Amino acid sequence: MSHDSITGRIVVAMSGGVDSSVAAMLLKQQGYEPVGVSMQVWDYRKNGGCDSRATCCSPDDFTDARKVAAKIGIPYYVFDFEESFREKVIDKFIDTYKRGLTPNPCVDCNNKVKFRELRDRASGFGCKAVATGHFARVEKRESGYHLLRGCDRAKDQSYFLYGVQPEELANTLFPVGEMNKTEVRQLAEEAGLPTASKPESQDICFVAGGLRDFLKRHTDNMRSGLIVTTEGVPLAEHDGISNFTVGQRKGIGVGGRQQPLYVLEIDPDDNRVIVGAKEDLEQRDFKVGEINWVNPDLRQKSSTAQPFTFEAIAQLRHRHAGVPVAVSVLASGEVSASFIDSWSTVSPGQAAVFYDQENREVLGGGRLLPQSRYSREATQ
Amino acid sequence: MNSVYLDANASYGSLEEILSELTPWYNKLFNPNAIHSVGQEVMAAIESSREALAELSGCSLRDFRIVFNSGATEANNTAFNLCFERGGATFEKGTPTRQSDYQIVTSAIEHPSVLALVDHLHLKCGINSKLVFPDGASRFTAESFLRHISDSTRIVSLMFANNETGEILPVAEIAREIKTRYPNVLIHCDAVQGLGKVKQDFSALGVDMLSFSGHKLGGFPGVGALILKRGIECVPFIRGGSQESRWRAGTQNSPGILSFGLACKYVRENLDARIEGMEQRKSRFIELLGEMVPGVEFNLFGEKQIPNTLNLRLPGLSAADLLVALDLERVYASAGSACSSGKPLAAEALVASGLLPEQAKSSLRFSWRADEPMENFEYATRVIKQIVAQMGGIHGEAEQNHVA
Repeated sequence: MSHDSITGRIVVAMSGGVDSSVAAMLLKQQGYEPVGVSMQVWDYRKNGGCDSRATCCSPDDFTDARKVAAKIGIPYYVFDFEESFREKVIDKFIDTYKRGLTPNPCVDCNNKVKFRELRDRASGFGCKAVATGHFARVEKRESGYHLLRGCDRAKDQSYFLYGVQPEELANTLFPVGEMNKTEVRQLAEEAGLPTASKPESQDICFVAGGLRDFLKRHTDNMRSGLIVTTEGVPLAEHDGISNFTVGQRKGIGVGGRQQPLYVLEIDPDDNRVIVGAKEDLEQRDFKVGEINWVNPDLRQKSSTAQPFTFEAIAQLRHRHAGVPVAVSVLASGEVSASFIDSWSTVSPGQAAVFYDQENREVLGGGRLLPQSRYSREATQ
Repeated sequence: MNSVYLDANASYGSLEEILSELTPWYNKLFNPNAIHSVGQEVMAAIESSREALAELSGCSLRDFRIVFNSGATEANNTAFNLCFERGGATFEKGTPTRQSDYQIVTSAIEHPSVLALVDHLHLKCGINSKLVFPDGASRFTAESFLRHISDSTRIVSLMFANNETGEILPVAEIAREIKTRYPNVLIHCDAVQGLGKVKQDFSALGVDMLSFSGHKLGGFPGVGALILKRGIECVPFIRGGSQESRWRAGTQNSPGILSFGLACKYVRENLDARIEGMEQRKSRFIELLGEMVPGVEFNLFGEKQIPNTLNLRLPGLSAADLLVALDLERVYASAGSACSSGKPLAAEALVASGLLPEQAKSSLRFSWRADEPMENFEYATRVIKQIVAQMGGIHGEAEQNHVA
């Protein structure tokens, strides 16, 4: 472990899954005093989704986490984060969809709830650091703390963590970051943890009951509208713009064409989905907003209000391998990037995370900004 | 390792003193309803327990029927249910059958086992309910209840002492006035938090039904009793066999009932010392808190309180976080009731009692056994002091003078 300075009581966020279970166990073995906390962010009794598809934060997951805590012998509590989760994650999720974008609620949950509020509350009872079961690593170097991808590249979750503040990294532990998933499961099995063979969580936790239903209840995006070409020629009807993501090819519902169609743009103002050929999707550059620099050097540089450029690997969605880009940071702090060789689909609203050229360290990231290229607004 | 148990209102913890009398029963707990002698022995012990509860509560078996069940929640459910079941005590022949014609009146600070039940009866059967809120400094009076009671009222329910604040309600006065004006209304009293904490003849309250709980006194959890005035017609809530004189089906929880009975016997024999022990601890705790935790506020309601309960608030701090911090230092307290997931809720009884929701969220309940070591209160106070400092201190609250 690179955190020689962390001792004693540590809060460990326990979802009821195997990764955070093993994280808690490892901390205990390493001589820390882990305090297990599950974050109640969503009331399944009130809001539905209480079925077996719920992937975390359900009463069953709390029961699992509680069993693990009892097994490894650590205190365990459920904290109510419903209010701030609604404000900082769900409201933004809904709002992003309303604007025709594709949100990434896990990023907000990590940044604003897990690593900020949980840390604040835990400091009140003497926990100096926060640990989670994320597949990611923190490395201490002379320049400061650096956030790295987890060793298991297939499970790496650093993409969701770019919003963490550098000073928070000093007090953050990812105990399973050096391991691969197989090892994690094996450790859980050897220790007889009740979560050892629990399946992976896939869906967004609070819409486990179904994204369509959730959006129907919370937005008016789920009404039918037109699917049109870039020239505005109607091709078919859609059943709600939130069912579409830029770059999507399958399930558009327009058949009998020689060339496959792709979603090029979503126009919430006119409730239209604009489709076209793959070439129309291509763009050489993109803009990123709400940027957060994690790398200490870049953070320092960006604070000087001097423009600078560098080359990086940009990961534009979860499980995206990443593509080389040239990043330019303007004096205003605005960030844009252009693809160096091959281009990749840019889905506005999703996170763009810049890694170093070895594709190993998180340098920083932000949200892909919408670009109106084909909607009426753009042609006016 | 010091640990301080200050959650006796949730569970008193089984009395050490009854253990030696319980253990011989361990392998003799045969079916008490059987014909054979070994079953009859268990039944005899159950009857002794009934006698012991009758003596401690003052509700003699000549005038009252004591029905053992799974706890006060079941007792409360049974009491309400019998008022609204066809053929039940209050349905005279030829009375209207529409249950929406009937009405329930309860205090607003009842335990969730009453309030949630009242909600359910409203949703399921359309039975109307009226909640009586405290009326300023005069709190709960017969007048405040009578304002809501009418000829359509079937049952009035009010607790003897509130589990969160310890406030004792003037049940006898209220019941007397109600009975004078409405002799047919059944009055139920959830007296769980009163038993063994005050010198009280519960038969003198003048109510028709009383609920008690075993583990709040010093017996095992999972046992309670409904006490009914003789003459109330039998309407079991749980149906099946004819145990407990047909009042409660299912084989009796004999170990639970025996522990309850033995606790009653022990408490009755030591009641004065027990109450005094509780009172001494209360004075000491208040004194210590006043000295060491400046800014602490006490949530005191009503004229009298039970002597083992202190509800206090640490303005600006979150009760949920405080409880965790206390637990990590092995000081066990509570705040509000806990739902199944373990998520603490702001004590609704505190808001109904007159606190602002924000004040309720920074309120903690401490409740102790009569024999909790005195020095533990010093330790607990030191821990509170340290936690308050760690959490950034008490922030003064804008006093709005709504606390009676």
